[in-house]
Amino acid sequence: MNNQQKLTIEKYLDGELSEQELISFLEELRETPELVHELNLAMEIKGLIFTSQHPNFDTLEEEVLNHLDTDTSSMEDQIMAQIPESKTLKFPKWFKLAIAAQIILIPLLFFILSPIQSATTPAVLIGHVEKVGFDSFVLRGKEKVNIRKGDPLFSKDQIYVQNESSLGMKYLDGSTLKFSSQSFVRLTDIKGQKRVELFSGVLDADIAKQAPGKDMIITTEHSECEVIGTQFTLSSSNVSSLLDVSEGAVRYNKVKSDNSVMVEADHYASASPDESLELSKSTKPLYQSPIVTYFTPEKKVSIEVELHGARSLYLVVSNGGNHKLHDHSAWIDPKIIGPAGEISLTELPMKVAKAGYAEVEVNSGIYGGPLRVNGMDHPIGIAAHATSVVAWDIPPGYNTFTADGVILDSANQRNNPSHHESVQFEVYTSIPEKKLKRLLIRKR
Amino acid sequence: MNELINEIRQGHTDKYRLLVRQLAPSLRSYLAGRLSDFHLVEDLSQEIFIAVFQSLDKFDSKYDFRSWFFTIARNKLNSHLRKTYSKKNLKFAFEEEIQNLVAEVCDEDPDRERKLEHIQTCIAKLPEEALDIIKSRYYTNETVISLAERLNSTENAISSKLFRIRKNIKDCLSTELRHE
Repeated sequence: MNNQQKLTIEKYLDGELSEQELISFLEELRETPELVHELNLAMEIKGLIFTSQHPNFDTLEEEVLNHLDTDTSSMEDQIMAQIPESKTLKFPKWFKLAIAAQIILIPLLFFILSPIQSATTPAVLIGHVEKVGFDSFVLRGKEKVNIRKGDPLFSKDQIYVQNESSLGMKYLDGSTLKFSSQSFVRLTDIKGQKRVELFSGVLDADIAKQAPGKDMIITTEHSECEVIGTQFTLSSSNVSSLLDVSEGAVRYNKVKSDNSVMVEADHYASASPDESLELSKSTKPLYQSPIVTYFTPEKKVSIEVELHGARSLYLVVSNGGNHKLHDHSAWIDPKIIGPAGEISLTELPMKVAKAGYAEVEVNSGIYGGPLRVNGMDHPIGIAAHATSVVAWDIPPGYNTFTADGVILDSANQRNNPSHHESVQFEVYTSIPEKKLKRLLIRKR
Repeated sequence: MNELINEIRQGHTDKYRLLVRQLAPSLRSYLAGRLSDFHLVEDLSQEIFIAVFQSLDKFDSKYDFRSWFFTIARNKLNSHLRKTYSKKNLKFAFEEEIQNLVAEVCDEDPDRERKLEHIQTCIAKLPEEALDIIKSRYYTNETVISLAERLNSTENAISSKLFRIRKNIKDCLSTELRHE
């Protein structure tokens, strides 16, 4: 348990964590059972000390029992007893008829008029849920609503995507947004202009052309995107935000500054409080595999890449578009070959080892289990949950990289076809900075 | 406890007093660990006991009453949080998730009442500096930020001290329970 975690527990108990800090704390709790136990102990001791200082049980007993004794019928009797007996008055017949007409007409008028009144302030429907993992929910006002595929989404809805889950939505104009696990977002529609506030997480967007003057606005803690119609991915955390454009162009503004850049296809930009807005060209991989899924034959792809004398090797496993669900992948028997001979990368020191979840494991599976593929255990390999980046310096005399890229059996222990594990294996010889930045945002 | 519950269900409402007496310390302790405003602990305790009484017919005696009782308590606490925060503030949703996560990972402590009998003994055994911190933090509900300022220390140092003090109290409580 580190000092920061100890302090976070105290601040949580003091109610001094912001929304963002609460999200980070929740994520940390999910990953660290020890932290949950420490929080529980802190609450337990706080409660025990309070109760030992205020042993005021008799009052509580009396108040509860008094409440139970006071049932509704006796209350009605008491109230009726206090109301003075009404005097009987005699009214003319025409007066009684007028009163009766009012009693009939007023509710009738109310029924006729109320649909018109309610139509003036309807919830604005903005789209529907296209795909959703388990346990994700929408906060609608103060109501927490569990959502399913096909459910409507309204302006001002706030979506929270649970850990290991994901959510896809489609706007009425066909634009789509996909949110990764642990994303937290608010959707609004102001007179036809779409607004998305991404408080944390990752969103993939495919936006249809928007009406003139109605650019879609997507904000994060550090940045604002003006979108006319394009495809891009935006990642955000309390540390920084990263925009990655694959088609079209997006105007990217850093909040609380005049910095602004136009990010075009195959470029990305990052914004954070301590660095200026940076625009960079995406590094192209030397090799990119087809998408490999749990149901790909043998769950593997054989890889052989010529390194052209490069001195660095970066192996990246990207999620294949399903937002990292159960993407347990591995590089089996990774080695470099050349005039100097053949050497396993598991024997060389890694200079980078980052995984989207848990740790990068050498010669064992995720969480230290076996490197098992199709029921067969492999002794040599590097396992990591996508998205992952591992890297080495290449000694002279080696010019070819070979390995099998695989989906591990641990990706889908229940063999459930609805778990669409899918990854892509990529090989780079220069730093895939964008992938690393995005990983650091998620692994803050 | 099941016998007592059956009697209450059969109309002996006055017997509910015994159930309140038995569970009130644990419930107040549970709530006080999670709420900063201690007046709320009293109000919410009362509300929870009334809600439990009104739901007694739904309790299936195959299950553990204590767990059922604390599930209702947690739900009531969560709905209180929902009412407390404003519409734009989403803290309640995350507070709720955190409380649910704690309930999933950590079982409800069946020794809470027994620990209550020993907590003051364990506090009395603390060194003077620790005792001062505990009194300020838990008797007067002083925040870590305020403690750090007043004691001319840092927030990290105070929270590390609190971490160690809690460990001492936990160990002491375990020893006291063993020696009962």
